[in-house]
Amino acid sequence: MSLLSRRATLASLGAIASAPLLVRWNPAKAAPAKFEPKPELVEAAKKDGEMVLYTAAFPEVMQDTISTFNKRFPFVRVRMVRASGGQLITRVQSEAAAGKLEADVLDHSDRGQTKNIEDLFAEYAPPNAADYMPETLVSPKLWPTITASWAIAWNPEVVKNPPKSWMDLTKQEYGDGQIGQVIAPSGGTTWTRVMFERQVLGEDYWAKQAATKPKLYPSGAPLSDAVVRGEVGIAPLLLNIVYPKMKAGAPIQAIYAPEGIPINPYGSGIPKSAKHPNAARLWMDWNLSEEGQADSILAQGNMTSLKTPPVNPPLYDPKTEKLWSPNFEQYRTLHDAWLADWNKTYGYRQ
Amino acid sequence: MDGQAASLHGVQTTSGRAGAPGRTQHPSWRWIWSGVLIAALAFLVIYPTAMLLLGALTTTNPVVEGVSVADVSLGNFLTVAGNPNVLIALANSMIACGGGTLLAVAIGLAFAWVVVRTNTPCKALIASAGMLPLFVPPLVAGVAWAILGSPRTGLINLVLAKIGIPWRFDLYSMPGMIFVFGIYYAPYVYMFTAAALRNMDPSLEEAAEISGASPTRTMATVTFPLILPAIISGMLLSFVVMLGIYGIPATLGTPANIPVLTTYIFALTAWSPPLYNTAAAVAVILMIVTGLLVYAQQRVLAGRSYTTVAGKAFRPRALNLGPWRFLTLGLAIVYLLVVVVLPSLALLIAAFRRFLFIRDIPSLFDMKQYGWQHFIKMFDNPLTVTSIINSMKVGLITALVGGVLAFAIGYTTTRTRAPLKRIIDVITTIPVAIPGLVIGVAYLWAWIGLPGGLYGTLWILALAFVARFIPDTVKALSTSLMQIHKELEEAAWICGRGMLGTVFSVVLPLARPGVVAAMTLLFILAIRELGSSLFLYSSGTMVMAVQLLGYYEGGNIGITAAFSLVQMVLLGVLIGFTNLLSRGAARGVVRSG
Repeated sequence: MSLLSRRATLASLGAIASAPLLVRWNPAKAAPAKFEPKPELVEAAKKDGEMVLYTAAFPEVMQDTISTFNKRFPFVRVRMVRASGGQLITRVQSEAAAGKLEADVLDHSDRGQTKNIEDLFAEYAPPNAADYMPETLVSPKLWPTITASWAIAWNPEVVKNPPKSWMDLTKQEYGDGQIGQVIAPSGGTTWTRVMFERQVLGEDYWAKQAATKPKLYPSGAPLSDAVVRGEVGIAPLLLNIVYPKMKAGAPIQAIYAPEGIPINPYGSGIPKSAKHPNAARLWMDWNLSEEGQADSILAQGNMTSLKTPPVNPPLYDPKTEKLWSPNFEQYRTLHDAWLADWNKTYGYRQ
Repeated sequence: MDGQAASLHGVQTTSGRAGAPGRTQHPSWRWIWSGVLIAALAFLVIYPTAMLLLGALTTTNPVVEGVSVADVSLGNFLTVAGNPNVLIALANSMIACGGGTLLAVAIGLAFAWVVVRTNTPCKALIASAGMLPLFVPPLVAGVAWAILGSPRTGLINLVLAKIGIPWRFDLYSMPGMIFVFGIYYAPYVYMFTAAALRNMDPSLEEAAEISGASPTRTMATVTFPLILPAIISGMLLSFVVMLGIYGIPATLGTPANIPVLTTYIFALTAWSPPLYNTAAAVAVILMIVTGLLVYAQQRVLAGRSYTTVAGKAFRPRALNLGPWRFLTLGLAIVYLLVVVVLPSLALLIAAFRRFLFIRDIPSLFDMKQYGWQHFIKMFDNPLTVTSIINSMKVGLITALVGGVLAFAIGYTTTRTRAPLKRIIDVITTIPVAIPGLVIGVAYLWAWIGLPGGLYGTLWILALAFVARFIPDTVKALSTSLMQIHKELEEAAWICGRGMLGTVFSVVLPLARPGVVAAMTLLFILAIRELGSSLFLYSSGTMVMAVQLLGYYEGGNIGITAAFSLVQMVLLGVLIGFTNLLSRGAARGVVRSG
């Protein structure tokens, strides 16, 4: 990491405790810059030959990312271990304590959880560290390889008058189980969205929304499937679950709502114990580069935590829509009390 | 068994006679043998269970933070006991699994009787097809029935709407869960009871009939009482297996907001941050419930004789039903239609259809909507093939290692006077009570620190599966072993055979259907097992159950269904092959009951 980028990173981290991020992006670049790693890193990665990726992201999505990475760097075999957020953290902690942590890279959607195990990670920053929005960074060791974003999705075969804003989801015309909701305690991404609802849409938003009697789902994937099947007509969903289905022609559509787009940057890093550190660094550098982020945006429907997006994300209109990322201190401190409130409001039995 | 039946069958146990098992062994060998078994069970069962209890009594991860006496408290239990939601989940579990068990016993027993004891046409085919639900992972079963019986989009409801019937099925309900539990776990009851019916000497029933008993009375007073251990074993196994199932209540109960203990426990482990210690405390409650049931089972069976295989050769008797055999055939076909054809059709539609939105009946037959895209995408993923190969390897290791261990335990506890056999029996039963989702992390905690390269290999998965399913395997074997009369072993001893010689030349051949069935069951359970795989698989040891969950959690029902079909076909082929191998001295229980 260069001195400049390290300074930039540290300066960025100083802004973490400030107010939540609510911004419009810079206009997208005309085309993403091609990722050009240093030859010595490529040679060292070749010698490593493989790496192990621990991830909480959906396996199909990650498999696509691995395929794209391997088109550029076919000499690194990426072996993946995938688990849900809570299970992944338990595995990582247990393996690390026993001195058997296999991961060369850990991807996790809940930055609060990865922050708690920060000591396990090696010092790392990508070559373009200064290009990242400071509010999306929680540690000099952890980086947002993926930035997931919340949209409103619906099945056009079932819903003829779709909602156009988050507030529309409180209307009784969408009541009686037409809306599906992921439970708030399911993980970092949903926690981000419910924070947004309460902080931006109003203290009474949950009560109004719960009054429509939404159907509750344990996670976003089965809910996205339920929308495609017509089990529920409408659902707030991460666009990276919806977008691949839209591209494939499934009966599902989505919009970003005008009140704001809650985004959830991942906390990804390289453990100190990595057995293939150079392959891991190449993976991280490529993922965080403009080229890697452009692939994440266009192939999977993610956003990016770069200050200037390398391409314009699908469905996103920079003139009208704003990104929202929570204040990280509040993200950690409000968690338990607000989730208890949410569970009570929605009648979810925890 | 009542007095009348006991007097009719005329078979008595022979305990106390000269040459009884163990008499020829030096007492120290018996102690050594029991010690070896207890040591193996301590490693496989007691140590992980202790880690689980430790987890339930603390708020820490024992591997990460370590444990001190100061950490130990009943806090998790008090939290759980004071949470009304746990009681609701417990009550729902009891209702769903109790109802499901009653249905499974009714179906399984009737099915076994039709296949083994009647001249119903095509019964071998019916028997084979009837076992298919065993190959279907519960998650897939739930998904298949959600496709069929969802109140809004279910295919059955589309058909009802098309033909103008206003009534709708709603499987997102407690009756829906009971129905699916019942039909999917009927094969467990069937496996136990069919084996027992086949091994039962028909002269016992003939004696009843000669004495003037009607066929119904004979069935009620002779047949069913004689196979009571098999019925109760099948019933108990079904109940406790249902208690630990996540997939069916997750797909059918969760949309209707009906939590059960497993969905509650899964939520505890999946929330961010995960609450494993609380989940462990809930799991301990589940262990207590199951422990009480096992105790009740043993009280019911205590002091009775169920010996039905003696030295006299016989052939299972087939009741001539006359024209009524077509009624039993019709009922069997309806059962197969409901249990096999409808869900398989739902899976086929899901696997081949681009998207599972079906507007109406004509759109169901729009062939432009069908193709191989899900299979192509599935096999494009290198992890798919890796997981299939790994699952076959780990299934085979589990079946062989687990089969040998289960036979050793089953023989020791049912046919010898080895010391501490009661303790061995109790330890063997423990894992049945622990949900896989929780015991998985206990295995991780217990075994990750072992020296050597066990962690990260297929062997650690196989060991976990052997430990987790040892109660099922031992119960399946014990039923067969209990039915072999001791006079057969005594005859071998009188002829000069030693203990091991008798086991290999007499007991093992006679118990072969049970052994094959137990090992096949172990293979199937190992292939399907998700909970303990989740924490023990590594980047090189991905297995099918974890890969299937990955597809499901990815929200792609098409690939999930396609992978399920591949899994079903593979298991079907392998089990058919196993049964071919076991033909000859004994007919395979799984194939023909």
